[in-house]
Amino acid sequence: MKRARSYQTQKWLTYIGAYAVLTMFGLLIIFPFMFMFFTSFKASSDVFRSPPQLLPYSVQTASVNGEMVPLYRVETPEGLRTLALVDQGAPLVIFASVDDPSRTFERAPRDAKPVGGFTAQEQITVDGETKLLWEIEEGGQTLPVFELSRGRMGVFVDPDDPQVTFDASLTDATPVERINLQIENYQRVLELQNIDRSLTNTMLVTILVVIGQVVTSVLGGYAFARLRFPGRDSLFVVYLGTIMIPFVVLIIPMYQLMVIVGWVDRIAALVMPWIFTAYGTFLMRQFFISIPKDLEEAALMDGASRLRILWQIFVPLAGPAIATQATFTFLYAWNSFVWPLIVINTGNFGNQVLTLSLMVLQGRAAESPNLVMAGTTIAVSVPLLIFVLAQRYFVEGIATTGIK
Amino acid sequence: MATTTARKPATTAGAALVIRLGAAWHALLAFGLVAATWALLQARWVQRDGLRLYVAGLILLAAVASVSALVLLLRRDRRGRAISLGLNYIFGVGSLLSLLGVLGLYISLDEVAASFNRWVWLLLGVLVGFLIGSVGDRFTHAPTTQAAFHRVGGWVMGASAIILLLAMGLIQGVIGLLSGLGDPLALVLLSATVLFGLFFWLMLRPQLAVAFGAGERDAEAVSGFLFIAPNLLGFMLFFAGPLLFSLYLSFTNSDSFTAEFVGLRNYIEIFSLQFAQVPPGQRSGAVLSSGYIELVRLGDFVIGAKDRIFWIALWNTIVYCFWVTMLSVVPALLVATVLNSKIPGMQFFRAIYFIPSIAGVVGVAVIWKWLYNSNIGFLNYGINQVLGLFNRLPFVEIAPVQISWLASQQTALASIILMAAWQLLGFNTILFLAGLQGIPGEIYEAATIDGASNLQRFRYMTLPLLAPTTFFVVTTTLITTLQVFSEPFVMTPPPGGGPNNSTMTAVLYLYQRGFNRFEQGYAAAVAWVVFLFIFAVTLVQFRIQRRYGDM
Repeated sequence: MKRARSYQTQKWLTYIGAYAVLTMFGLLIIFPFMFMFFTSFKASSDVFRSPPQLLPYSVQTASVNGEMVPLYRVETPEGLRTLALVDQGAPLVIFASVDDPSRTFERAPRDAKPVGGFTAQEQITVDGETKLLWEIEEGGQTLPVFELSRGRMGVFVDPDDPQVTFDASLTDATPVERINLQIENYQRVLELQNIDRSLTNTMLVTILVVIGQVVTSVLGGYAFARLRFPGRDSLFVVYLGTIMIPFVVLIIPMYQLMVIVGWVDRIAALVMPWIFTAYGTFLMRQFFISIPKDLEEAALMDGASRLRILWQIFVPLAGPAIATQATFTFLYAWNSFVWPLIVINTGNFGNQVLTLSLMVLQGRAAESPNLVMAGTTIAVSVPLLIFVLAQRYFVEGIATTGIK
Repeated sequence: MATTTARKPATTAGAALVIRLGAAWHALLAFGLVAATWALLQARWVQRDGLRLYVAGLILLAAVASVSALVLLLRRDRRGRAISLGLNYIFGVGSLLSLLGVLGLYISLDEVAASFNRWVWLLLGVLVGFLIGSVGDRFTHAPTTQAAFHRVGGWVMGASAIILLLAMGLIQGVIGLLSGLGDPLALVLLSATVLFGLFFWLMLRPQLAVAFGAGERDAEAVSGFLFIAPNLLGFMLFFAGPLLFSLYLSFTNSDSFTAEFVGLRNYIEIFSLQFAQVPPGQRSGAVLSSGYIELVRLGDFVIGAKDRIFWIALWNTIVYCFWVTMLSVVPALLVATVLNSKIPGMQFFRAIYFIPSIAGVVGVAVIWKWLYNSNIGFLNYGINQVLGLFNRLPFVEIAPVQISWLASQQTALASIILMAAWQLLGFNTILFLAGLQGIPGEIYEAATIDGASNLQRFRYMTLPLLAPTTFFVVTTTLITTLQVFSEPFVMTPPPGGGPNNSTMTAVLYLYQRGFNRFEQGYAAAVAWVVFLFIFAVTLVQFRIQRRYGDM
């Protein structure tokens, strides 16, 4: 009895430990995407906040006399109140007394006189920092002071009763904020340097590459798996070998080939070289070879053509394998960067793809990370959607490539 | 079969005519090809010497093939028919593709992209069709309902696709392309396509097969080649051809418009190193020959290199590769072991971990660039929060840090390593998980009964049984990381390389030489060195795997 209970406890402890590890790990994985997602909804006034904040906040506003004005929490004689700022007010400097730095005074800048004149203003050292020395009038006598901070004296009103006004330093007022999604960031980023065109270009290129690769792989995979022709096996070994050859060796000659054919800066350069794949052919061949032979032999006896056998027997059976290949090709084509960077001029907004636009955007829109993140969200969300729709095929595909 | 044999005498007359026609056609083709070779060798307007010789050699080869086809056809040799089929196919497809090029099909993809931008919302119909189809998957118990959903989904998808194509101007486009046929070059190519196609078809006819005594196996071989052909042509055109061409380029000083053969000069420049002893207090420039720049200085010794940045890039790549592999493989193995326990919700976590690898390098790099921001980035903020916790302890006082991750020479490469490891981690976890799930659970049960501890089971059972997966994971990670380019290119702004070349990698260097300075011959040589390096690493991996694979 006791043993059984301790076994149960141990099991639960293992569960909790496992979930703790997995959740921590999951947060680590997901955090950058949360940052991306929330930043994409931030207002431009909210992006350079320090310390950084994950959620998009913006200042709450209220309507006063038909105008939208920001709300602040302000210390008033009646306590802390939520008031609307109607006038940013005059600039104001907060000075501290030299004799007693805890005594502070708020003055308009013109009410303070420099000790020793503006050209040769005297300085004092406070806590190791050098400060300029000023004089102000306080209670009928002049007082030596130094500048503590600057601010503004704002005019606030009660949003419910605009007749009631208060004057308060803006530095002491804390803005009333709430989570607010700036959905128009997406609208704006799509208009920026033709990103909507990049988006549809990427879609078109990806669709064409996926269709092309699936068609050539199915045909080639069938030939390798089922049809005997001279040199088949050595050709297959060559195909396998090429999977190991990195793309870097091909960058320069492929670029020159594109120059010769006249496809530099053209969508064709993004599509045509990629509709043939040794890897996909290999995957399809592996799948077709596992299909029992008697299925097609009967059809062959009936005089069906090879193409018909492929289309009516093999392709329907290969549904999952084709889906796996299509999803992987999709990701590869959607995220490809090096090749578009080489063949498409970054100034040519008409033929750009998303990865390129994103790279250019993050360089040019360095002052608006919210827009950059909106662009990134667009670029990331489409593969994410495909992943959600076709998750099964991803896992299957990885299992087949990883184990075999 | 029986009927064809019976009709054999009747078909021979026709077949004989076709064979004679085919022989004449091959004579004509061979003559034309020889003439083309001669014209190409004379033509001064083709700038690329190497490419010209390459193409001339290929054409001459085709001419020889055509002559042998002619001879063998007349001798009624089966190989004659095979060569004829091959030549006619290749030239037919070649003319067709060139015809499409002359008509402007490939270039018109740009206009297709423009109108796709306008009508892309019609794709929603395809998505709706797909969703209708997948709703059908829920009705596995009711096949008719399932089939109905699939059919309706298929219709909706097909109809939307057709509407999209029509809206994008499919018909106008085809008419526009066909109107280009008036061009003389297009007419020549069109007639060539038709002629090659005609002879291909004639040679393929059953009568001809009988005349050459070709049987079932030959028919199968022909269909085999036809099925593999699209793939093989693409493979030749966009892989094998460029690969050879790249090797040639690495022996030239190509700038992508002209190329002169320079022999091994590029490779010599890359590999030139000089070791010298420097007396203390003296500058290394005094002892190194001209053209050599100090690479590293170890006490009294100095190593100089002609291409200093290449060695820095190579070293950075190795450092990057080593650390990313370590940081993404070891934790992945541990997490996969945890994930492998059969507790609910594992699929959810698995999906989460996979997200970074589907998000794409550029997107991820852009995100991390902001996380690394020294003023408002979350990384410094997080570090300072943790330091703040420590500061609450007595006698501890750590000043807040402000690391400028990507902008400082000391941390730039490490930052990129951290990000890359993060991105690969989930993918490797999934790979390990797939491997772990292939290990039967009974073995563990037996070991548990024998009193093996968790750690013992991991060390003596999981690790050895997982060796093939580990090998696969490590190899793919090595190959990917040795080609690192996008991460430093995006994160340490173009032209890349980071502060004082601290994030310069081999492929980034290749890109700079090849596309910023247009020294493409030199870049091709760098590419081959990188490739051979990757190949050597993979080879070593294979040897290790073979030695320890069955431990």
